[in-house]
Amino acid sequence: MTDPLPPRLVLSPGPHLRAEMTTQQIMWWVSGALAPVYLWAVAIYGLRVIVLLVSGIGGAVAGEWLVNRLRSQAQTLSDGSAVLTGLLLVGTISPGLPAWMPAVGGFLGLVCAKMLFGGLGYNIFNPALVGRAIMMATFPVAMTTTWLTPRLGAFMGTDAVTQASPLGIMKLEGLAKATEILGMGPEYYWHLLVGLRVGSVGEVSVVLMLLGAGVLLWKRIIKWYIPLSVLAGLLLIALCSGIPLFHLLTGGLWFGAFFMATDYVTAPMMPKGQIIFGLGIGVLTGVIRIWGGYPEGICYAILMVNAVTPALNHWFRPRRPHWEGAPS
Amino acid sequence: MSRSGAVIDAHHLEVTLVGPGLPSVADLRLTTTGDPDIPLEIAEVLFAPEKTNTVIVTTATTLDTKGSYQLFHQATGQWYAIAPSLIGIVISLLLAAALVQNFVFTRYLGLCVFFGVSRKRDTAIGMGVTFTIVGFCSGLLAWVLDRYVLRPLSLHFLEIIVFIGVVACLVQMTDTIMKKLHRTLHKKFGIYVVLITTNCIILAVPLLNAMNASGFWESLALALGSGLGFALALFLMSCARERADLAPVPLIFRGLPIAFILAGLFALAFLGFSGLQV
Repeated sequence: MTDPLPPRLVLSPGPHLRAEMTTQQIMWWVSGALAPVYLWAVAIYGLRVIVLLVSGIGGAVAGEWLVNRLRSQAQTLSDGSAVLTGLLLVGTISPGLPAWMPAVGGFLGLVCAKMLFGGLGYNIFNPALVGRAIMMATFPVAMTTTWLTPRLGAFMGTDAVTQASPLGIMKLEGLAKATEILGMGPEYYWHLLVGLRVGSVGEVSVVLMLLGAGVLLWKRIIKWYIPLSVLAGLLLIALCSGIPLFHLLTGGLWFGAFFMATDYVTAPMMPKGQIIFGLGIGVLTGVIRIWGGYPEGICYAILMVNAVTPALNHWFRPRRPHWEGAPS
Repeated sequence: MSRSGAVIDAHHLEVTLVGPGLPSVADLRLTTTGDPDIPLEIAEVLFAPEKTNTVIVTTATTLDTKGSYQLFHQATGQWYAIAPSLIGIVISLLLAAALVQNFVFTRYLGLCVFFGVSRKRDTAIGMGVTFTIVGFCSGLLAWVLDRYVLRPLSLHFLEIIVFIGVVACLVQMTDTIMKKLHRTLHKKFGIYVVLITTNCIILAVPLLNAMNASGFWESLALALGSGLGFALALFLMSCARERADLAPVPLIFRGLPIAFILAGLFALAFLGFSGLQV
C-alpha cells in the first residue's frame, strides 16, 4: 500500500491568523530587554547577583524538568518560559539574600503555580510572583532585611553594606522622619531615576527598565494598556500620601507594571479588562504601601488581581462582529 | 451623652465644645471610656483653625484612633464623648470582614461549602447570594437573642447551642416559606438554603459578635461583610476552577486536589492584606 498523497486542501477550525513571533522568540526578547537592568544590578551590587540568577533560574528549570519527567511527557524547557520565570523572580528579591533561597522559590513557584495546572498557558497566577510570595512567607526576615547599599563598581570589591530600603524606612519611621533620613531633594529623586538606591535586584533603575519596556512596546510584545493603568492607579492613591513622586519612583512598580503584570497568561485578554486589571493593581499597591502591613505591595497586588482575571475575561469577551446583512 | 469629637491621630483629638472660650489644660480631664479612674495626660489645648467652639487637644499619651474617650470640663461640668463616627466603623468593619479578613482565605472557615459548590460559576453565584441573605438575617436574630435574652439572664454558656438552633430554625423556615410562596425561587435556591447549615461562617459571625460584645450596627456590618466576602471568594474560585477544568492538569490532581492548591494560592495572594489598617 502506498502512502496517501500529501493533502492539497487543508481543512481546520479557526483561528487561522498566524502570529509573527513564536512563544520562544517572545520569551527571549523579554529576557533580552531585561539584560541591561541585570547588568546594572551586577554593576552596583556585585557578582553575587549572578549567583542569585543562576540559583533562581536553576530552581525554575529544575521544577519544569522534574514535572515533565514525572508525567513522562516531552520536555518544554526550550520555550524559554522557565528561564524567564527564574529571571523575573530574582528581579523581585533583595540582592543580599543567601544564594540557595531563590532556587527554593523558583522551584516551588514553577511547580505550584504553573506545572500542576498543566504548564505554560494554563496557570492562573504568575509563577514568579507565587515563588516570591512563598519565599516571603517562608523566609520573612531574610527577604526584608538583606538589602545592599549600591556602589558603582561593586563587582571589584567584596564587602557589602546592609541598609534598609526606602519603602521600608517609610513604613517603619513614618513620613516625617523618613523625609529627614532620605533627604528628599532633587538629587535624591535623580538617584531614584537612574537607580542608585537600595532595592530589589531588578527594580532599581527606572531609566533602564523604560529602555527595556520601550523595546517590548516597539516589538509589540506588550501593549501600553496594562502598564499605564498600573501607574495611573498607583498615582491615584499616592496623591493622598503627599509624596506621589516618591511612590512613583520607588519599589518594584515599574518592574511589576511592565514585566510582571503584562504576562499574557495571567492578564485579561481584552483592552477594557486590561485597563481594569491595571488600575486594580495600582490601587491595591498604593493601599498596601500606605495602609498595609508590608512596605511594598505590588507583588501581592498583582497576585490578587490575577485571581480576578478569569472573571474579567468572562465579563469582557470578544464579541463576534455583526454588520448589516450578515448571515446569522 | 452624644458624640462630640473624634480622634485625629495618635496624639491629637478634636472636640466641639458647648460654650465659647478656651479651657485650660488643668480644667480638662480625659479618660478612656469604661475606665474613668485613670486620667490621660493632656499637653496642650488650642482652637481649631476656622471652626467655632472647636478645640484641638494634644495629649502626651498615645491614643488609639479607633478607641473611644471621655472628656470632662470641670468649669462647666460638661461631659464630652470622643468616638469614631458610626459610619466609619461600619464601613471599616464591612471591608475588614469582606476583604482584609476574608473568612475563607484568611480565617479558613466555611471550606466544605466553599469546595463543594465552587465548581461552576452559576451555582457559586446562587450560593453566594443565598448565603449573604440568610447570614445577614441569622446575624441579626442572634444579636437580638444575645443582647436581650442571653446576656440579661447570664446564659453565655448556652451561646453555641442557641446560635445553632437559630441557624437551623431560620434555614428550615426560609426553606418552607420559599417553597410555599415562590416555587421557581425555591427550585433555583432551595438546595443552597439547606447547605447553609453546614457552613461554619454562619455560626462564627454570631459567636464573634457575642465575644466582642458588638453593638447593633457593628453586628450587622460583620454579618453582611462576611456574607459578601464568602460570595466573592466563591465567585472568584468558581471562575478559576472553570479555567482549571479545561487545562491539562496532571491526572492525579484533577478535581479537588487542584482546587485545594488553587485555594492555597488565593490565600497566598490575600496575605498581602495582612496588617492592613481599615
